[in-house]
Amino acid sequence: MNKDFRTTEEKLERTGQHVRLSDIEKAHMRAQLIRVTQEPVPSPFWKYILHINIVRFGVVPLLIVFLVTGGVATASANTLPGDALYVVKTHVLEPVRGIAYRGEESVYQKQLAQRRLSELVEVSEQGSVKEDTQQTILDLFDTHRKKAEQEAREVSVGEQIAVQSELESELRAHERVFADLDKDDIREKLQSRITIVVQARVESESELAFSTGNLEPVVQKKKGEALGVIKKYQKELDASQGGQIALQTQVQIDLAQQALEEAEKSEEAGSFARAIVQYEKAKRFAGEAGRVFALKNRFAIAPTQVAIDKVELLEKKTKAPIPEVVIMAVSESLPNEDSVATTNAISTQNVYEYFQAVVSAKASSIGIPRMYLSAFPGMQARDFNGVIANGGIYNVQEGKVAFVPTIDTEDGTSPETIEYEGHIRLLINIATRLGTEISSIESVDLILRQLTQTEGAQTEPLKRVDTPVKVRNESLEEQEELELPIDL
Amino acid sequence: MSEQNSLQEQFVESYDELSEVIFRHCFFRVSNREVALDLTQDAFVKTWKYLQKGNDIEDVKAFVYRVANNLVIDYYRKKKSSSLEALTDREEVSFQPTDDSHEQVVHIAEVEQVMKVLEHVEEPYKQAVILRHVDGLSPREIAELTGETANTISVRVSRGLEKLQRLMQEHE
Repeated sequence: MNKDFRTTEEKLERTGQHVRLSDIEKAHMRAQLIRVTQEPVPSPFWKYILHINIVRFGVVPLLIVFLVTGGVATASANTLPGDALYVVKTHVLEPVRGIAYRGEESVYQKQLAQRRLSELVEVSEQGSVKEDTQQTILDLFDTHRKKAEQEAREVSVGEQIAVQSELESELRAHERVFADLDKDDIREKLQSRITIVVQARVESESELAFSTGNLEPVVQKKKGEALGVIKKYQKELDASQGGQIALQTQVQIDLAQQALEEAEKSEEAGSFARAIVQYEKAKRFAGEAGRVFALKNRFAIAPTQVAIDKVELLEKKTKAPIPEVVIMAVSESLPNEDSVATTNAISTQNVYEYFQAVVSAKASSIGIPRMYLSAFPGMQARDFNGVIANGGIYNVQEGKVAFVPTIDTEDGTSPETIEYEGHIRLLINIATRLGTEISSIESVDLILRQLTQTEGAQTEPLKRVDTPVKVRNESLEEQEELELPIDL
Repeated sequence: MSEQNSLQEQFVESYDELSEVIFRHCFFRVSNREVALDLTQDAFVKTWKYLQKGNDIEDVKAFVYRVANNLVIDYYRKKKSSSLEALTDREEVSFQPTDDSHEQVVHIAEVEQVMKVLEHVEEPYKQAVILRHVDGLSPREIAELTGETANTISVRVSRGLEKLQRLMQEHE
């Protein structure tokens, strides 16, 4: 080997040493690969089916028209997974309609992904869902999600984030619905998909931070969208009958509002990439709230079995039908790992337990309305409307709290005392009246302060209706003041 | 730890170990940083998909090299293009200079020159030269990767270098 060759070799080797991945590139690629390794494995059957490009195999236009408008199309359009024609709908009808779709391909794919989740709920409502049916739907969902993300990416990173955010809201909302339906197996599958979508979104957001383009017009667009989404769902909530679902939805809307305010600050400071991310966050929170609200109403989600058991126990205790709102409250109060709970690192159940503990301590009694009314000037008789107690239920008659007994207590427990479930209803009633959310310990503290500080409220005496049971003769003076867990 | 998690962990470790060499190889083969990044990622994704199907890989490094090589061939089949645009546009992320800006400029100039010349070296000589003198593999390792004999590889490296050296002299 001569000297020139050696020089060439050395030059190549030296040059090679200077070509390296940057730390950012390496980390980004690593994150992408980790994401790939976490994606679920598609079932081989559907993978095969999805690779068949029906259009490529010369389906003539006439057949397309027939498929889109003909009897098969009509028959298959409303099919659900498990139906014979479902495969026609998902693998013929929808792709063909996609060709004719005039909007962005990413939007069409996103809509199909959303449709798959709705189908999952509908099928679940009809009973248990077979494992392969779940897999079929979720594989299709994954396919649509990926296509939606890829197509949006072709437009811009901002659009990709928008699609990822919307699908994330959709997944989170459905995950909450499946929690209510006690379908833990499906819920877990949705959770793994939420993780994937969140990672993808975070990566896209990081990418946006490095963007050198003019983001100001994008910020304006996102701001308008965020305001629109919040306004839309707030309007729907305002028009609703209230209740626990509405209250929890309101929490999400409030979080969306906070994100919106943060986004406006970033926008004012000229941090446009950050503003876009925060406007998307606002859209995401509001979108999730709206979807949960719509889904629960649309599918008339029944209380979970645990909730049903609890309600049945209450009915046995009171020998009276339990009002619908209380059933909902019991259902909603059960441990539920939703996004609100995650945000506040506290479960709904803890909030009610905390409320019960504090009011009992402050009133020096557990579950006696007149003691509560004495201790909390801001509490009103109507707050006790529909509150279940031991042996009966409270309602309001002529502006006064009345106890309607339904059964004599024979098991040695104190009659008329409000138990845990009653405290749920009591807190919901108070929060609804005050227009305050129940989202965290802090929010309960706020409500309790209002109840303590309100001036001019009159303590209203109890009224008893046809009572077969004696009222417990306890007075505030006879009780020792207990130390409160919070400074009221 | 589940079998799947263990597999994921091993795969990510392999990425940490091999990503630089696979990227460098792709970069020298296609002369385009962005394309090289995509090919590197695709090579690892394909490797993962292969593992996910329950297949065993005896030598991960050799396997990823083979996949990357196939991807490079596919790339040229689809689009015969080579550009130094990405290299010059993205010099701040193309290299990790250790010293002052003067040294960085020298490095960039060197890389540009080598890349320009390499573009004119035909396959399979280009592949052999890159595997031998950029990636630092032995003729035996290259032979295993490419399915050729070590002797054939040595001949290809030698002819490739000869061509490269002649082209470099022409460019100087």
